[in-house]
Amino acid sequence: MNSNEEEKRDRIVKLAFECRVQLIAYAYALLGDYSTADDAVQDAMLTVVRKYDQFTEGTSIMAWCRSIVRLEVLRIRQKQKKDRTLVARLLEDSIDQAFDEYFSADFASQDARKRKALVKCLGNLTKRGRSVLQGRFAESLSYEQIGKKVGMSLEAVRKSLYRHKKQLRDCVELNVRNVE
Amino acid sequence: MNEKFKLEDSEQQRLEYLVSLQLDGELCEAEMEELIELLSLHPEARQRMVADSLFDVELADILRNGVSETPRHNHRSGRRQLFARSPGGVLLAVAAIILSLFAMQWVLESRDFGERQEHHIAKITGMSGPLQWTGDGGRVTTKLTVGAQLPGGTIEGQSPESWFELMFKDGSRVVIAGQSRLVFSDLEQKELHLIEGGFAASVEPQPAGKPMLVYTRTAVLEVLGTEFEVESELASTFLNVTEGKVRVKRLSDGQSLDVPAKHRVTAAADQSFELEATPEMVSFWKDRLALGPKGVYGDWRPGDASEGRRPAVKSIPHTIKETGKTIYCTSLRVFGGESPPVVLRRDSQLVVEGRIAKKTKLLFVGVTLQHPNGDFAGRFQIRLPGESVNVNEKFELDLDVEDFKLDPSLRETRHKLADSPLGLIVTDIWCHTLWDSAGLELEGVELYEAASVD
Repeated sequence: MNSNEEEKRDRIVKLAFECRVQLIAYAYALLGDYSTADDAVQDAMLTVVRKYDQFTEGTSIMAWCRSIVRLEVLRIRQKQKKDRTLVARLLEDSIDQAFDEYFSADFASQDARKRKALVKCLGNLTKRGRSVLQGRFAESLSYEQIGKKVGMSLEAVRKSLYRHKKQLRDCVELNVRNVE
Repeated sequence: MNEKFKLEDSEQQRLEYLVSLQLDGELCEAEMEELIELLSLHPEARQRMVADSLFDVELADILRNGVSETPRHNHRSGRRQLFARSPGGVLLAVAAIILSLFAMQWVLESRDFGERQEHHIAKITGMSGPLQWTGDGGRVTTKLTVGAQLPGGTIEGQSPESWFELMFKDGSRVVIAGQSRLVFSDLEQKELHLIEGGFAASVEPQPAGKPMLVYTRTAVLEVLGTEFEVESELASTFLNVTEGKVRVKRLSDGQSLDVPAKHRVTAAADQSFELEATPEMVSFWKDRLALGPKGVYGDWRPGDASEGRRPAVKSIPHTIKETGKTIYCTSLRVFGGESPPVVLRRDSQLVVEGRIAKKTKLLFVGVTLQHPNGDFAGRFQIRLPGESVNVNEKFELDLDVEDFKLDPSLRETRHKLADSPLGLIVTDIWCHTLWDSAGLELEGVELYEAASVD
């Protein structure tokens, strides 16, 4: 590989890497599991490094990477050998359309403030609420495993996750609005 | 695909729940169908799907990697190490690239942060409706938030619903409401350039020799510390001073006047340049549509006597970029010029005459109000079912302003706004339909006090 090619590869990989958070979110929305989504994007990044020469510079790196991630998601589905019903496939298409429409740099512009607010809001959660979130997002535990860990029924874990995420989102919105 | 209406509160809650289940991989088939329907019908739902996914990713990153200024997303779960199953050399190089990219990203972010260290001169203390800010280097954004610091620039209210309040570091406040365009800067001396529309200001005492300067096409105002409202039109500038004193210089001949509290003046080349005491408030007002499009937001059309049509103003669309939704609005300016201030009283009635060309689900009629000192007091409205008016027939609505409620889009700032429209001064009267063009036309608007009519 000559130095021009290396430069091109680095440039494209760097661009792809800048989309990483959004790509994980995309894979996560499709797969419904954060860790698997993270894996899918790791694999997609390897594909980007291998196939960087297939990317036409000047076109949307996000769209290109998203198509690679979508393929990775399909590959994972095949590996999981889970039959996807027509409705599940239609839902994936709807989610894909949502990301097609609303993926933009604008999300990134609010990231720093939202992240700061999120850290602050996490501090306001109860120990139990934080444990549930920790179990789900940091340790990739199932509802059942979380339930056993914190002494809650499966349904209570589901509700707790929903309630605490909502509480965090509302808190972040409020903080971002009231910044300074 | 029909994407016309906003999600109802109950739908919103259901959507949140379904998205949360999808992100946990827990949706059943029936719930999937429900989510598909919401996603295909509502842009708001699609936006929510994306926003909540991003939120969870951010949350996961913080919970996995701890608190850092920027997301890392590089901590692998115990199940799999980075590139562990990949053949050695090449992927080690890839890992090196990625690590170097982290470093590059950090450097770039640091540099971006450096670029963002602009000289902020003011912050947004209230806002609603469509607004656009243009900053240094032509940076344009409609994504403004209360509390955001601004380094100067141009703020533009893009429709009659627009409202924007800015506070300078010394506590001086400037408010634009409606369609207005204002350039503001503070390089040791505040300078405002009113390109279009009007604003109200409450100015703290300014440093000696450095008054706030307000430029319009026809006048320059020197402000040392006062409350006033100013409106600029192509050939005239109208100034009303509530408190303190403002020096106004008419540009056409260089004449200056000091305008004291409770006085007003119009600076125009073809009018006498004289002080006038601010007239007493009145409780009646009648549109001047017959005189032309002055003070009108919308597509003004002269009347046609042969068809028995009166002069009218047709609603025009304004599309909200973020949602892609369109409001069809028309508005009439009430405050300013030669008219005395118009106040709403307990028995005030608003009569609106007009037509619609197509059936509409909802019709909104509202008033934009200010306090006697010029402070924005809110927009109050009434929401009428589409059945209140018949298609292609003249309608006449006689509305009790006591029934008008604060526009829900202002609820975030309601603590700063009035509880009721009564006792406040009307700046604009407006009427709109949402999302679909119903061909709304206003032919007449009148405000009167029922108690004063026999």
